[in-house]
Amino acid sequence: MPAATISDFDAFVDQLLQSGALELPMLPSAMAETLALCQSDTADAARLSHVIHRDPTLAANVLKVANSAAFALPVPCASLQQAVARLGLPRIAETALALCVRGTVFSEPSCRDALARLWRHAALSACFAREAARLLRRNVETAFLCGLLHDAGKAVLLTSVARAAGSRGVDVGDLAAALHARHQDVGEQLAIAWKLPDPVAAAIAHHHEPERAHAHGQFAAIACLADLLAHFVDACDGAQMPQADAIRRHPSIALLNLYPDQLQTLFALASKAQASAEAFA
Amino acid sequence: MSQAPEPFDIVVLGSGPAGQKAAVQAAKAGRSVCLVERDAVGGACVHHGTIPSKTLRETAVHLAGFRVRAGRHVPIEIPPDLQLQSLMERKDAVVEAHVAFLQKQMERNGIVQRHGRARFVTPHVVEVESVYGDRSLLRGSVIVIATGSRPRAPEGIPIDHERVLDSDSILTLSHVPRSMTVLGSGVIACEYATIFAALGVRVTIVDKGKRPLNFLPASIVDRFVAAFERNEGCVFVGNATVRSVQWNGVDSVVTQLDNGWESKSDVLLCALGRVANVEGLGLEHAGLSTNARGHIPVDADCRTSVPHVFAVGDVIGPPSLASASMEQGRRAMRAALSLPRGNAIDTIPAGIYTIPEIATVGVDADTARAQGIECVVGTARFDELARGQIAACTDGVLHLVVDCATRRIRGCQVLGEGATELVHLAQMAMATGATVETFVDGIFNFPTMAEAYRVAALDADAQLLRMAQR
Repeated sequence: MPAATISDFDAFVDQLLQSGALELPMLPSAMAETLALCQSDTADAARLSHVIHRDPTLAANVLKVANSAAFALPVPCASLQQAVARLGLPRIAETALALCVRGTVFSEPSCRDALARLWRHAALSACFAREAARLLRRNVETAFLCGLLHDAGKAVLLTSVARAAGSRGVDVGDLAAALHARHQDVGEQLAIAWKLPDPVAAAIAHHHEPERAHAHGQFAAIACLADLLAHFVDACDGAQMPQADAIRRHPSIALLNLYPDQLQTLFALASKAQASAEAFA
Repeated sequence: MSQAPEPFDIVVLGSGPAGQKAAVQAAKAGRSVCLVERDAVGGACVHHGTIPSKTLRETAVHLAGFRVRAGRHVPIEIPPDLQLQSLMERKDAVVEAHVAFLQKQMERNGIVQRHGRARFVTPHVVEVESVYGDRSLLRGSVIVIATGSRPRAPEGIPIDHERVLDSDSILTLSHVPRSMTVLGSGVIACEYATIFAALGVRVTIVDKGKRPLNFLPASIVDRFVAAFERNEGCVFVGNATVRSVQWNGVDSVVTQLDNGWESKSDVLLCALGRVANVEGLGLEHAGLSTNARGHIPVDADCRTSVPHVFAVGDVIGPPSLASASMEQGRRAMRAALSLPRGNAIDTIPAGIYTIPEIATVGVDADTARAQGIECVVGTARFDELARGQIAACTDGVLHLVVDCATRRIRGCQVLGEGATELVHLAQMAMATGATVETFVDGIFNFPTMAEAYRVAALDADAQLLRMAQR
């Protein structure tokens, strides 16, 4: 089905979902191991280095991120162990997870530019989600993953459509509304396939209506707010840039009990979040 | 925002245990009441403190209890990747049910609710700012401040809510850590320390005091410390001041003490007290100020220096217990409305949800003697009770403080599982003026932990008899 002529995108997505033809990427083994390490009480620098080292591309990219401007290390890191020692286990684990996601979900060559924009938005949202969680006393690592993966469904859908279209290519602009309408469903499928932690799965599935995430409503609301803030500072995935006032009056603000001065704190962290996100570019 | 303030008889700021009881008491007395809450209904008690921590505690108690009773035959291991939230699976249902109950109670009593942050603009008028920044005015003939408290963030402790946490963020941990350093040895510190110890975490409590829970008798605290240190890798380090706390950048938080001792742990919990939520209240516009400890000074009826303004709960300082806060809220309203108050405030028990539990009511022997009351202390050890042996709760002890002159019960301190329930018998004895004979002559079910009262009463009775024979 040439994507450029898709008249009923919903039917196409339904067909993909029902037939099992939707190409859900496999959870990379390095990501699975890193996630398991993050959630266990046995995480240590040596084990994480070992996991990352098994994937040479990942190891090289982690080093590249560690040496990026965002971390501003006085002397460049030459080894992974050095990077772990300087940046700490949580940041390295976070970096490894982000790079695994990028390499797996955001890597289809036929729609590289569109996926690069989506990736930039994902990384920025993750950094905003992390800061929001810190402010609101929520789990920082979980919030980072919620921000990182909230729009993964868009990337999966776009990849499926681009592959279906083959050499005819896709006009991402035409698909924007349709991608937006279905990305939570597809993201939810990915979360189930990857057995992601419940709060992350809930945030992916309900970040546009966080109140539907019930027990995990706070993480869905954090992903929602991070999404808005990322669009506000950088309309990089082609979405319409929200106005600051619209963010201030967004329903997620009430769900999070975020008062104007606290929201202002998050706005003020924009350059920090952007610098962190740039590191994953 | 030029409209006139919306008038109410009573405006209550904060919907925690203190504010909620104040609001309900006022509404039941037929007054119009507006309750302002900046966060979710129920306050920190429901959402960050008492209820979530007790839900985790319940799991920890059952795990630890099962290990003691049958662990040799049916071993239970906590998997290393188990998420902490899995151990608090019932928390959301408990919180939801509690909030629903509170909401219904408010609605049933016709209490108007406003969601937002309040600040005084005049002694009788508060401005409420919503999360969206909208502002409105409320006028109260009486205003009750019940805005609670938050964890203190001492200078030099780098609380990042990832590895160095406070009591509001400790339950956001994704998994059960291997080791934990706890700074402080008050109620919250000891509760979390023992909960995590029961889950198999190696816990180090560090405090500048010689003993933890320094408001309790040494005999109770020493037993508590012994029980805590029986958990593998758990230790109390007293008489120590923290010199520095640092995340080593790789895998542990390093705590250095002034005595040269160093502790490395996966995470650190900073529980060095709480501070009253008074910033932003504009107290100066009400003619109020705080004392040196940051609390709002009040009299016995929780009335501030401004007669129509009352303050209840954590904002007025210790005991900062939910039970006491509820009574303060109720009492303040009864005082404001000139209703009889009673003297229940004298016999509010203190329940400490450590593992094992601790509870007290009235005075201990030292306090009684300092007040010039000659007393004896009857003691019952739980290892001498059939029920204590059956339930493997042999760590416990119950002290009954008996006035030598009147033979009345003056106080009771209990350590051991069920202590927070058990103490109520002493509370009722005190409230009704019962003497030690009540427990000597009273027959309880057998085998029960309540039997401890009879054992302690017989001990006290024997001491009184010996004194009389001298």
